[in-house]
Amino acid sequence: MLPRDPLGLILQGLALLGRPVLQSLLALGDMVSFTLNVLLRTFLPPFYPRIILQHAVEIGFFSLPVVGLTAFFAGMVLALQGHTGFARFSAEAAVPRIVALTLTRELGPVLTGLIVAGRMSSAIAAEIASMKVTEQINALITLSIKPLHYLVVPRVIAAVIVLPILVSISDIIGIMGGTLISVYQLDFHPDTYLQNTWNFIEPLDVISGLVKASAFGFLIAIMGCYQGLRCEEGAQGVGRATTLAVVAASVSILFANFILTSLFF
Amino acid sequence: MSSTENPILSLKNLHKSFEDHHVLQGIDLELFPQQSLAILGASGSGKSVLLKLILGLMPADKGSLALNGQKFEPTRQKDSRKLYARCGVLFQHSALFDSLPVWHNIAFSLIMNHKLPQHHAKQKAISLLEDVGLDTSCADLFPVALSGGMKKRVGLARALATNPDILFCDEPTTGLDPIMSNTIDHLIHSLAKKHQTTVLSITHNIISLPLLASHVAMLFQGRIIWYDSIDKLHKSKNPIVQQFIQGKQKKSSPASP
Repeated sequence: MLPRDPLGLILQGLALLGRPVLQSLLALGDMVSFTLNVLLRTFLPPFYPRIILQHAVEIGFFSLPVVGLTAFFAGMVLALQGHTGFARFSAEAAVPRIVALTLTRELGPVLTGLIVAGRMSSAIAAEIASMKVTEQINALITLSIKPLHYLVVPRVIAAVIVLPILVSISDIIGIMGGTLISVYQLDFHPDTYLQNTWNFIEPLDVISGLVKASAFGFLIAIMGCYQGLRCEEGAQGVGRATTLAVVAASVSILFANFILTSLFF
Repeated sequence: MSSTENPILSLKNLHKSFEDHHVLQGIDLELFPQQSLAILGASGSGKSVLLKLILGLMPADKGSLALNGQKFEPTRQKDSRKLYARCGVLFQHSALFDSLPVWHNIAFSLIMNHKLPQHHAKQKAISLLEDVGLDTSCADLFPVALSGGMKKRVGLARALATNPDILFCDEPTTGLDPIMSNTIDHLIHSLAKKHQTTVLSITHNIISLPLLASHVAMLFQGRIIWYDSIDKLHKSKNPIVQQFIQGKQKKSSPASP
């Protein structure tokens, strides 16, 4: 049986497709405008150095154990896998180089970014969302404090500064993990291994990783703050904001990683 | 709603809708210096929305506000700053900052806006704690360690920390037992008198009214349907006011037995 109004049905179908697309574009526009607003306010007074320091400790220092542990195991696994692959071409000597290169350029920043995203994006979103639900944000406003200045900018600055430091530490710990496995299991000489690593790494390898780390820090803080401030009322809203913050931060880290890798390639 | 004095705050024809639901349908109200006015109304009558419009936490669809006779748009940063510099707000659930100790909550504006050194700010906060009847040992506690009544007291101390001209109280006794409610009402009354503060309270608590307000405005279906001094509230012949005072449902109401 033919539909009575085929044009109407087509339009209805298009509307069904168009509505979510429009909503997504609106959400994207809102997020971009929020990000630009935050960027602008980063350079405008008032500045809150003490609050930046508090967030830096929260984001950086308390993430160190999990970041370090992950980097250590990643370094060990890289050495083992690298050895398995390179042994097929009798190129085992490349293990230290591949461990160092992969850690500094890719795994260090990406793994650290994802771990901090899971740990901090959710925490930032949950904290700001509960502040919104319990009218603490309204209280801030009526006390003449701009929430963007007080809640968002210090977290963004702290994350942008702290992530490269975390990544540097994670690079060192990862290389130590690779060295440990290479020396005790793959029979490398420790001095030769470290010499190979040191000689092979170029400044750009480290710099590209640190630039990525800063970008990931920015994304982690922005996504957490954005989802927290845009959260709907109620406990369910807080839960949803937390989940969305982690998902958005993780996806944007992977996307930004691709873009930045293309730039540094 | 007239007086020989100029109103400190006046609202003219304020409207607010949420989609098809017209919450406020033309609110006209004046608040005079050192007056204590309570806006009375049932749950969902738009009392808190009205307060949010005044404080610029939500934009009005239509209407205007004036502060000391000068028109202002509370959602505009420049105008809102003028209002916030002159007002203190006691929120329904106190809205204390969880991450800060009690003294810092109270002295927040003094530190952030008035750039008072921390030790001076703490001294001022401790003296405010005493004013609201709390032990000074509470100063270093965090809000999570306080009871509902203590939180309200701290919220009141925070609202009064900068000696505001106007104190806004959103349901100041919500969630408190009758004794604590009475204590908070007494505190608001005595502190407002002491500091010569104008008070605008939002409440549905009839028992609180004699202490909270010298004048009452009754909000019903988005409009102010009755306004007079507190003494005349119980003598009012307005059926809605009488119904609210007596706590009875309309006979036509589907929920009535």
